[in-house]
Amino acid sequence: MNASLKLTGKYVGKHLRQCIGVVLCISLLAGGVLAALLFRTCAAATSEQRARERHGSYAAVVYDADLSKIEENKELFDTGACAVTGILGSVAIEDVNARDYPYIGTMNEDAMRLAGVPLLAGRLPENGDEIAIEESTLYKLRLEETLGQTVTVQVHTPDGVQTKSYKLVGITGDYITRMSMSDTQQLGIQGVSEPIRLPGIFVGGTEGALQAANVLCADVGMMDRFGGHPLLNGYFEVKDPIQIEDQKKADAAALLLILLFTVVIVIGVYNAAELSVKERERYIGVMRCIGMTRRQAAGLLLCQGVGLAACSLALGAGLGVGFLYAAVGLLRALGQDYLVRFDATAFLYFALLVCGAILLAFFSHSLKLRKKAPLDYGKPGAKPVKKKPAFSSSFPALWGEASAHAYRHQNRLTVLLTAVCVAAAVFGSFLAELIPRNMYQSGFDYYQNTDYYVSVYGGGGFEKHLLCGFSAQPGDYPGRPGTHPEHRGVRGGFRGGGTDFQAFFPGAGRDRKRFFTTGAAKYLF
Amino acid sequence: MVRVEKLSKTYGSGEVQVEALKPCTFTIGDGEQVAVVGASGSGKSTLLHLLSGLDTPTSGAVFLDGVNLSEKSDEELSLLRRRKIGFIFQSYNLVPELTARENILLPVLLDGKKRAEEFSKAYLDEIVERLELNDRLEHLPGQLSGGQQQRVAIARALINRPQMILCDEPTGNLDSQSAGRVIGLLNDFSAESNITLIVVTHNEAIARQYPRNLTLRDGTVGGDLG
Ligand SMILES: Nc1ncnc2c1ncn2[C@@H]1O[C@H](COP(=O)(O)OP(=O)(O)O)[C@@H](O)[C@H]1O
Ligand SMILES: [Mg+2]
Repeated sequence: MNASLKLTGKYVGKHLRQCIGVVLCISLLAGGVLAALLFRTCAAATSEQRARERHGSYAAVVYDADLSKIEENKELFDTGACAVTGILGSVAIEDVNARDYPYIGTMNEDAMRLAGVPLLAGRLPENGDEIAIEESTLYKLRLEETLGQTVTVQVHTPDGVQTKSYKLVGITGDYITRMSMSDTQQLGIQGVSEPIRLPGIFVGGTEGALQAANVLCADVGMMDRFGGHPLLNGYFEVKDPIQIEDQKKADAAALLLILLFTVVIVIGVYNAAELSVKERERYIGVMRCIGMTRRQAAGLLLCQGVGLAACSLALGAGLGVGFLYAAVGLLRALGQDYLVRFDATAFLYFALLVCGAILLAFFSHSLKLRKKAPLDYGKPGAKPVKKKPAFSSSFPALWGEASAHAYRHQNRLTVLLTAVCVAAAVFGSFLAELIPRNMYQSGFDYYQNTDYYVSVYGGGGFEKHLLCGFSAQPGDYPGRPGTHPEHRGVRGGFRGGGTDFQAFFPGAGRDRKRFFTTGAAKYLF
Repeated sequence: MVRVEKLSKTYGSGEVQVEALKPCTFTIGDGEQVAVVGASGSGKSTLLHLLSGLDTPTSGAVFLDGVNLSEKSDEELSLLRRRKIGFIFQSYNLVPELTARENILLPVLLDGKKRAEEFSKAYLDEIVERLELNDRLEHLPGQLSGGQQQRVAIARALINRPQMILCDEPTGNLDSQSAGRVIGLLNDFSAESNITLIVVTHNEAIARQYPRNLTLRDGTVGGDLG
């Protein structure tokens, strides 16, 4: 063993570049396969993610949802429903900046319950003469916590200041509506930033209010939990945006190619390995003549084979991962986001391929040794080895060196074939990635006589989304507040309850920016 | 002592059958120096290969100190070649990635650690000195002249203190001056250490230097001249 190691070391030392050439050839071939396999895994993971996101971005509505079922699933939501159904105006308080005036508005009892607004005392207002006040607003208004008292306030409405008197029937806990800056600005409520407290004072009845539809958003998988009619056709219609089917076909084809060409690659690796054995055969012959035993000769080959396998595995794995990142990088540069996933089976397959082919080459030679007489290695008396030309470090030269001798043509053909195959295999999946994706298409529909909508945004692997929206007409528009053409600029209309729109849209979120081009958003919303 | 009994070798079979060595019987004593002469293709190399156990005879046997080589396992034959027989080839057959020193020590290396420890450095120095390789020890074979390479091969053959040295046209690739030197060295070592020396050559002049000549003609060992 000592002698084998020493001789192998010497051999590698003397033929370093050639050895590197062989390792490089094997690594390139096997690394290509590894990259292709890994790429498949990434493509699959990416497709899966996209599939989820497709659903996630499928804006759908459950109408005529069952309130009790919504309640049952309340914990699934990020926040409860928006309880506010309309705004009457702001209430002036002495010594307080107009911007900080609390608002007075109507509310929806069911939604309030859903929103988890605690009732600290009394009850919720039942008609337009009764109010419930948020605890902190009560303090702001410098009112006693006395139920039944008459509260007179100056209500600033767009039509002017009105003095109104209400009977205080209840005190609620703090209720914070999430409302984005853009939403509040659209509402004409300037200068408020989220989160905003609206309205602070709840008044019964529906006076002057835009009727709200409580809209809850959840994962698409939840849609059937709310009763009613889920998957309302065409609310936002999204037509197979990412062509997952095409992708799957391309992916299957790629796998088939990879497996098929593994055979070719095994031959390539085998040849490269065999070449490095062949190289030594003559000298093994010489050494056999001067007293090397078969076992020592086999040990020598084994040493070399194991070394070659180890180096090829390390380099091949590195190259494979490198290729993968290159391919993914290219896709990312082209604007597609891509998940990188490592698959143990791909590495296993790669390792089997490399070790299998190399050890096969060496083992078959070692086996032959068992039968061979020393002289069979090539005549010891044959012509002396010609001196080789100096090495160039460029790959073609290394390859040329590695594929010298009798195996040259075979090897060159193999590597050419392999390169084509690996490229085809990798690019099979890769090309599928270049298929242009359809843009989202959306349209609006209006639904009447609907008490509860469950509107579904987001989902998939993404954050849970917003909770509610408002409509000008009962059951009218549960989507993004303020975007409906008919709602724009509706006077005094509070269509709050939206969240930051970015969050709605998978791909516009922080870390998933390019899964779907943000440009598509304008088709959706 | 080498005893050859009805030794023959036939390559191939049927149409392509070649009788490289026809049955022959002879004995070579310890320390004897013998030249094997004959035209190209007359079976000289075949004979040497059989003598060293590199090849198996078709019939007959080679006895080395009374032991039949045919009865030895491959492993035993390898050890025999390593320890008792030195082989010198026409084309030197040095291992190209090893330096001259490493080539010389190759049989010792093959013999493993234990033997390597037994091996005396003084002996190496002595051979090297005699072969005038002192300043060439760290050179690779490719950096040596033919004569130098063959001298390295001689050193390699001598390193395990063999009982017998077999040379297959050791001077075939050398100019006459180098050839003379190589033959001289071989003869000297053989004489001093009582090493049996069998030199294959088709060079009449060289053959004449040896007290005994075995002449091969178409596989037949002819007149044992001398
Ligand atoms: N391995 C072999 N297979 C077939 N024929 C061989 C083989 N080795 C040698 N021969 C034949 O045997 C004959 C003797 O060869 P060889 O001993 O090499 O001759 P020499 O060394 O005297 O030139 C030649 O005719 C040669 O062609
Ligand atoms: Mg010959």
